[in-house]
Amino acid sequence: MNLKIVAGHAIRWLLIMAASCTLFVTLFSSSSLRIDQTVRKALNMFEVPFAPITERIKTGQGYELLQIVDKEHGLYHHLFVKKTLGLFWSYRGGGGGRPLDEHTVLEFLWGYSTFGKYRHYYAAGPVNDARIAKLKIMWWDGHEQEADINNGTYIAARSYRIPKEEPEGTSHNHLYAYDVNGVLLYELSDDNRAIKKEG
Amino acid sequence: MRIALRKIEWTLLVVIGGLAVFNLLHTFDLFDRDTQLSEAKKKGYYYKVDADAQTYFGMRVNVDGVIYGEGKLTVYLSTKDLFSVPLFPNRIQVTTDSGEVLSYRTSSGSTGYYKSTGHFTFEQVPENLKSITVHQEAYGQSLSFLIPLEGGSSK
Repeated sequence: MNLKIVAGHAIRWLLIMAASCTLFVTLFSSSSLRIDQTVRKALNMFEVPFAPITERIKTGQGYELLQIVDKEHGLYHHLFVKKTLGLFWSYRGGGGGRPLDEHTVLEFLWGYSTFGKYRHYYAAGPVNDARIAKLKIMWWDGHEQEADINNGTYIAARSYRIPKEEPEGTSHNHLYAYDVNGVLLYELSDDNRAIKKEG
Repeated sequence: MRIALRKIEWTLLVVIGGLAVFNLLHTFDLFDRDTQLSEAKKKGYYYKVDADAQTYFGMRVNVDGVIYGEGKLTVYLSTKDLFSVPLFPNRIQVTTDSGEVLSYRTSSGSTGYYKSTGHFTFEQVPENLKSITVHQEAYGQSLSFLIPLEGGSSK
């Protein structure tokens, strides 16, 4: 075969590979094959120290909500991630650097991230009452779920398909805390978000 | 067969290569016109900084230069990381040689392949400063650059 033709093909493919590598880096810089590397990059972006994942909740459409509780520094973070191309975990949103306040008995903090036609809601906060055995969240649309409690925090997540016409009126979410016998200890809502310790 | 392959190769090269070049414009400082910087250089307010990079939350941060004049101070920073789009610090602080801590008024940053750059602008800065310390601390990690401001500026 003519050497010049082979060389021409080789050079073109080499340049295509180099350009593809550059594009790959710019698109997947914040992603990683391993999920804790993705967490590390996201926490570096928030300028907070790395801590391992406490809890993972699948919220639907391939998204997962990660809860990270950093007892050493008294912080907790929540991150939304998604596996893109079936290989790489990419960071898609969330918040970090919330302080773990030991003077708060229970706090109801909730929010959402919008991904396409779905809103992914989360509810998380500190829990500092040993009597609390069960936490139930009642969302505005009647959806009920139990929150997972570990490491002094609770977490619950769900996704909600945004309807074509949003119903009128404010959305009220509630958090109910029960003890081992099912007795209601606390009720929190948007009007009453936190219960602090006395003294 | 060979002609079709060549056509595919050239198309891929132009499309993917074009996108890659577009992404690399920021890295090689092409089409980055900073009028504030060139004006400051003309007035003699630009101080070039030659320091070693420091690691802060996974970023290799370095101060490139400082503009100091007419009551304003602008600190230019860059982060570098091969085969990645490096992160850029969210905030920095400046402490003057007399111990006064300044907060920045505006900031700007842009990220790109291998290099991300940006600057923080401080206003109502006292005159005749001999040096400043650009620093930031959080959760045990810190960065700190001592920048002398006397002896005139470099062009």
